[in-house]
Amino acid sequence: MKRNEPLINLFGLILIILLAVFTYLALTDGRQGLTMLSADLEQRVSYSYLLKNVTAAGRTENQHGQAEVIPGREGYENGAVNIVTAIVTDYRMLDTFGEILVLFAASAGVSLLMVERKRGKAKEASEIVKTAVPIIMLFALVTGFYIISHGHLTPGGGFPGGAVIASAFILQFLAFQKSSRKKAFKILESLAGIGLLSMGLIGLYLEGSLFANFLPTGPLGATISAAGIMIIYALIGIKVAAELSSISADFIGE
Amino acid sequence: MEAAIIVLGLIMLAGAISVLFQKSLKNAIITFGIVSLISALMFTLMKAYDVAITEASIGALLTIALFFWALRRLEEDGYDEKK
Amino acid sequence: METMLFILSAFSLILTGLFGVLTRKNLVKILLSLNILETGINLLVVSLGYFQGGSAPILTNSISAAQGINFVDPLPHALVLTSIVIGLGTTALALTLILNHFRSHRALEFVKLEVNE
Repeated sequence: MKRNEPLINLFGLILIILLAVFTYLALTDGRQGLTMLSADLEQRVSYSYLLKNVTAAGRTENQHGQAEVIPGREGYENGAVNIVTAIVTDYRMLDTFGEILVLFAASAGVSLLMVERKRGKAKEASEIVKTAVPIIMLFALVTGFYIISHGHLTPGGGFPGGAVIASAFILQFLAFQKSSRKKAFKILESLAGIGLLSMGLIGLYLEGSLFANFLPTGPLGATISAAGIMIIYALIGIKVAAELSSISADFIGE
Repeated sequence: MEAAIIVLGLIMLAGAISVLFQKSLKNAIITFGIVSLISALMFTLMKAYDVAITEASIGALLTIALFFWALRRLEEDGYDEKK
Repeated sequence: METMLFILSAFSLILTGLFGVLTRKNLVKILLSLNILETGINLLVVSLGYFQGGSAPILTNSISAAQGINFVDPLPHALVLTSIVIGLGTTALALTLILNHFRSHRALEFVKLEVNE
């Protein structure tokens, strides 16, 4: 039967309006409405993440017996000043590991299922592009390395840094049409994945839990500190950059 | 501050609605890029700087590039938007 | 007040994306609406941890339990970081499947398969 366009639009609109009304009634309910917005700040789950005292052994106290974190001291659970980095690489590393698995599955799926491009005329890039791309690649690579290596101090980390490094390689594909590095990207991605998993297994062997922090953490806030976090983010950055470059090389084709 | 949030939210909503009703796919992809970039700006207003960098570099850069490469391949295979 | 505005704008994106997934014919447009839906969900999750007057979750001075902690909630940030990257992987694989579908069916819409006796 043929699709009746206005009827389908009307049906969708009615469903959306019903969903909106339902959500509004559920949120402004008297007893258990939006009470999450006015919760006490000390009852959030991330309260113990902020003060770095998830386990009883990692707790540091001041003279009144309250938990305290001071930049410049040593001896905390992890060495990251950026708390989101501490959550992503130390407290909730299993979620990040699952995300890396999903990216790996997507990259493998794209390279297996991609159709071949029909032999059309390959357009050459102009002179301006060919001259400017090596300079832009230099800046992009330096920015990517900076974002990855300062993941524990400033916002950023492995994922956007890997994307910036991948964009440098994408520019090279588009300007020079030289995509003969697919095998090198696959090998690099596999090595980074093996390194990441072996870090987790060494942590399991030494301290009893997967991806535990076994390297020493320097003073909080120094440039070279939190050795475990830096190594993990470097491996994640290499892996994400290689995967995104491989996906892009498959999409551009030829 | 609240005025900025209201204006940005209205632009995002207008862009999202116009993605649905565009006739040409190229215009729809460009408008989706605008929506993605404004959402990265809203992440900055919410003081979530890690999320803003990640959304700007992955959501607004690589997703739009993937869509355009796929559209180029579709037009090489014989996809015509006018029909 | 600002949190309510953020939640409202995120919710409007979610409803628009859902409407697009339900009613569009073109496969690429369905994928674009799915991406709008994911962007709206990420905005909603991050805006639930925001409160007015909070600061970004990066330690610059010493904090202790006595003087109160004024950071926005960093736990939704970590979850949304994962979600954005997974959205990219899903989009890449879906576009590959769309290219395969177009190569063998010549039409960018749902094609009814005929059942032969």
